[in-house]
Amino acid sequence: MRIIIFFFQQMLLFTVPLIVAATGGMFCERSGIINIGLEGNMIMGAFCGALFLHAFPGMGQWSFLAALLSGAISGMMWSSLHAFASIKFNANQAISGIALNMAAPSLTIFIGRILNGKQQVTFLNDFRIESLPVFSRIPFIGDIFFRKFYVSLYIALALFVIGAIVINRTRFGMRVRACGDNPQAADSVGINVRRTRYLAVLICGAYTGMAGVMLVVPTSTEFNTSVAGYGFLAVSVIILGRWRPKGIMLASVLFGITKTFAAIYSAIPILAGLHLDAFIYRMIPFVVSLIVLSFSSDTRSEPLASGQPYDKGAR
Amino acid sequence: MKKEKFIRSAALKNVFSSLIAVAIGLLIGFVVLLMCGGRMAFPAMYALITGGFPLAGFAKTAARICYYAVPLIVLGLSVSFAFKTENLNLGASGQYWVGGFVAIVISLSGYETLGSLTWIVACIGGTLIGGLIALLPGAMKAYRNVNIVISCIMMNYLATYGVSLALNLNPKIMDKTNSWTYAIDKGATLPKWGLDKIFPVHGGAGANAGIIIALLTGIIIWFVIEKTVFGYELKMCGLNRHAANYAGVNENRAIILSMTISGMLSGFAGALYYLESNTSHISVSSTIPGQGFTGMAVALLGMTHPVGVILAGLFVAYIQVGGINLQAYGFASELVDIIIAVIIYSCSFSQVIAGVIGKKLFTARQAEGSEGDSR
Repeated sequence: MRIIIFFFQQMLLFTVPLIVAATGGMFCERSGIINIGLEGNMIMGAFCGALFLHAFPGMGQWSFLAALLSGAISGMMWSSLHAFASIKFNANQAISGIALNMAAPSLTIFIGRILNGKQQVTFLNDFRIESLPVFSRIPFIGDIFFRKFYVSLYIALALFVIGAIVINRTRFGMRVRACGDNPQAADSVGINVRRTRYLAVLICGAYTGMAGVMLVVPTSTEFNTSVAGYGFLAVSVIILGRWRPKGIMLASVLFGITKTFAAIYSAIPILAGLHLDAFIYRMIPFVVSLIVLSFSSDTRSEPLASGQPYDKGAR
Repeated sequence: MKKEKFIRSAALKNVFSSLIAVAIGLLIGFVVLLMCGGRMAFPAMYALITGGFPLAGFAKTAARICYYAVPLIVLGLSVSFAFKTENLNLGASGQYWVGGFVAIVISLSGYETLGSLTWIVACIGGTLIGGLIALLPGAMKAYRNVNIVISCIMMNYLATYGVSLALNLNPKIMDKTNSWTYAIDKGATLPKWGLDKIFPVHGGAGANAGIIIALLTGIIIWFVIEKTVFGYELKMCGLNRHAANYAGVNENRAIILSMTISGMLSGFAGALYYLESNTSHISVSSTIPGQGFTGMAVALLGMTHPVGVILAGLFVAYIQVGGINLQAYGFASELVDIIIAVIIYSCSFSQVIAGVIGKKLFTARQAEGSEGDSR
């Protein structure tokens, strides 16, 4: 029983950043901009969040919230480069995203060495909440959700719900979807395609920046130039979830489970007894995603104008 | 008239846009240096741009450039080959890594039986395994319609982790103290083919037959793309796949073959680079090697044309060799990665800028011409 609870608690730590990053990426992709640069966004967000915590420690939960905010802002700034290239200059969106992915870790090494003397950014992690008064008494659920948790769990759920409502139920969301499916038609009824796409990419940047902080802060005490491929996993979560919030939720949980096995297999007696190499467990999420993708790939739900620069004159 | 035609020609536009991308890359690199280092930025930038020639001497630097350029040129050819069918071979890194690994394993274990033929067998092994790794994303794209970018990224991770796993399981290959592969035997490395005579430094400083093989590969790839039916079919699929389908080209076959050949080239690049005795080793790693992405920069900078790729490969190698000197001025050599990333970033839209500038030049000239007519 204790192991099961431990497993679920760990799973939440790995699932939360995926949900947030994929929800953000969904905005971008639904507006018709392919964004492979989620990894770079997360790296920049995590880096700036960690820098903030390094510089201003000791404000309790407020400094965690402020770190999330600085992650969001830096993610927005970084993704604005992608928006600039792909919306203003009609760039090849895949290439621009990859370039930003490449630049981000090098930039963090470079800046980190100059500000800090070394590439790792260490910070004090004292944000874990041991238990919430009343709710933690609930059997099982209380143990998983209200003991030894981070505020980021509830912020992430809120961000997911807000994202799902905005994309499906609001005027802005409808405009984003229209721009992704048929930008010319959207333009003809007075929607500013470029502005909508800019907003969508910036929302994506804010979400992924926060996701970076949510990944690094609870699972570590230092940021070391990478977010372990989470951005790429988030991209495949979006495709696996068929660009819809519900699907994204399910897909993130699936990946969260496989990632959890990779992280804590040594704490589970049955798996530890097998004496398998750590790299086998690390490979599992990618193998699973390849298999699932090859059996569920469905282009019908992909945004129709995905990846095409907006051309006003096209038919 | 001839001049106008030249200004409007695609080749000039391509060269121009590549130059714009390089200029933006170097400029931003310089700005980063200025912001971080102040006055030290000037000598550091000078060392970077001069490629280290004044510091390390001509022969050594030139030999280093030749050695670094080999995998970059072949990787650039690999990415540009896949690009002919509008596929982005992001998996080049993984294919390169495994190709190098297999080549090392073959030369470690087979040198006693194979003797002086080892390097040929090792190259073939690396090439085949690279093709095999790229075959999977290609087949998944063709038959299951899986986004090739995603599956290539997944394959990168699987390749990197798989190599680490193989190293952990085989103590015969791995040097435990450094957790990387043992150095291969001197006789199993690539032959020199006289390059150690051209660059009279210790052991040729890494310059070997690789650069000649890379240039030959470029010629072969150019021939396949431009002069054969197969290459024409690939280009057709890339430009308009519906038209290609209508004309009877098997699209699935084109995708799979272009990906496989691209993967073979990447594996070959890895084999060529790692079959050198005193080079960096294949090690246990959980981060994807960056060489494949640099290869993509080379392909884009070279506008996916073999000649362009060769020139771009030499240029990027030149910058990389120059970047080693940055450490002497207290800067991290990662600046080179930033510059390369900026070059890729600006490559994604530099053709648009070049088009705009070219159009302006052309219309200005046309306006002049029409004025002349009216007179």
